[in-house]
Amino acid sequence: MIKDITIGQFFPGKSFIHKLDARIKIVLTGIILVMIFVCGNFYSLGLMSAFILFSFLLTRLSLRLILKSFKPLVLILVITSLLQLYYVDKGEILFSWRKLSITSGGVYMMIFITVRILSLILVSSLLTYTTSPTSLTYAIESLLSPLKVFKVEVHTFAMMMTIALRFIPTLIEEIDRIMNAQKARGADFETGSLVSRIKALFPIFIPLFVSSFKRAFELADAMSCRCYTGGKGRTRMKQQKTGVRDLCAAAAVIVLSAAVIWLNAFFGRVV
Amino acid sequence: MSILEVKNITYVYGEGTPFRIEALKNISVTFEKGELIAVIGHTGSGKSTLLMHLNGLLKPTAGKVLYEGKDIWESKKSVKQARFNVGYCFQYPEHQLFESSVQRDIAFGPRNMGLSEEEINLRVQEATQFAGIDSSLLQKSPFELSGGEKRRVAIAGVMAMKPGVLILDEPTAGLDPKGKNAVIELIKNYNIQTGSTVIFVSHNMDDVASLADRVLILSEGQIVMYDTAKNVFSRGKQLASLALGVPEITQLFLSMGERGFDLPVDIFDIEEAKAALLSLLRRQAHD
Repeated sequence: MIKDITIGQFFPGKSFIHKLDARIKIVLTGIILVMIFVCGNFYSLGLMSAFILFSFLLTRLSLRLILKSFKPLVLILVITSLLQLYYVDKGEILFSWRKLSITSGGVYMMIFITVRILSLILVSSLLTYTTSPTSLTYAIESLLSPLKVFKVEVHTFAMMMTIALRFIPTLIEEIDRIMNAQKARGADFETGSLVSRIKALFPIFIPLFVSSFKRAFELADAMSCRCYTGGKGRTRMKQQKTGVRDLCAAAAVIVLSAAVIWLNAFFGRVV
Repeated sequence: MSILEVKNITYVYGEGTPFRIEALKNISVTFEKGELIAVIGHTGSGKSTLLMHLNGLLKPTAGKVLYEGKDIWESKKSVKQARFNVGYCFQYPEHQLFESSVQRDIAFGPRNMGLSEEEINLRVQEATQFAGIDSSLLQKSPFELSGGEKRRVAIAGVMAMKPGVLILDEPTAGLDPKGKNAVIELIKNYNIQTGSTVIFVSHNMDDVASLADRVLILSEGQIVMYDTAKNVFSRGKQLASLALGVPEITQLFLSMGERGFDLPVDIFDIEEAKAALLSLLRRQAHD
């Protein structure tokens, strides 16, 4: 159950997208996220989602992963689209029942919002699916380095993030193990009232906290034993280089953005 | 009489992802009532996966697990019952301790079974006796105990459910020799006194030789051998080819055999070793 969460997971590969410089990838993902909101009609949004889908195909990851990344958000999607259907009161009335009426504008809006949310999820999971946590944090450190002028400890921040990300799978494994151990003693997490379900979490979280603190102390000791003193004078084994590939990707996104703006202007905004 | 039966189970991890692994490949095995069974095999051979099927923590991708002839996946209730029928003590079980006192932690399992307060107390008493836990420790916090004591408390927590089959995953891992011997003794006593089936995983062949009636060897998700300890350890060469060792005494006899001494190869017990060596010396004196 807990292992079904794929957001933030990394799937190693050798595709064009995998090989992009993580810094460029983050910036381009940011631009695409903004552009998704800029899209004002079906033409520009269609182009946008086609581009995202195409990028996903480039990664050669299994298509089932797309569905998996949508799974946790199905409820949010259903609720937002139903709200759209109910609130938007434009165009001709397709169906009405007492005070409720569904208009063609509402249906358009529902489809539009759904596609928009799906694109947002897909493009952000694309970033984490194809970028290893280490290069992701290095990229963040590098992108934030201008902040050093303001005496922000960028390195410490990045190190904390690396460690936090590194230990997510470990913690998930640990939770899984403790849950199994308590289940083997007859613990029940799935039935009962709200109070009893919350109570059922204690046998998981107490051992988890105990072992997490222990692990944190051990890690700190291990780091000091290897003479870790912070970011000063530290160099990296794997240097990230921006190359032709990254320029191509950047050019593609710029062209895409221009196209989105032009389509918005040409066909007019629906939203 | 068989108590647990595994019928043609296959289990696949991470179906539909690039990490897909077939951990168990069409395994069938029967565990007899009252036997002490050792499961060996190196990391990734599917030991834990197989054992987690026995109390319904994992649902087989294909196949069946029968407890006393009944499919444990028959209904929701039967799965829950399987957890109590087959007690599972995980690797490093001291990591599961969470209660404010040793007594309350041991009572966690019996309480989940819905027993009366009286019965729970009785079971805690019994389990602490089996596990050799001093009654002065009962009111202490489990986090104050030593490593060996914590381990025994955790094992007592599973024993208190009085399972028909007790599974222990590497019960002696990471303990000092004293703690190790205490755990081995308690496993032996529990098996003899309650007549329950005990299944344990171990990497220490000497522990296996001194405890087990039967040995199950797994490799790459398949059963390679399932036989009496004597028969298994007499196949030292095959064990070596699986990157598994033999008990030290067996190793000694194998090496002596290679150097031309006429000795049996299926010996793993001090008394038998003594007898075999004496008879060899007598024969040599005759010649």
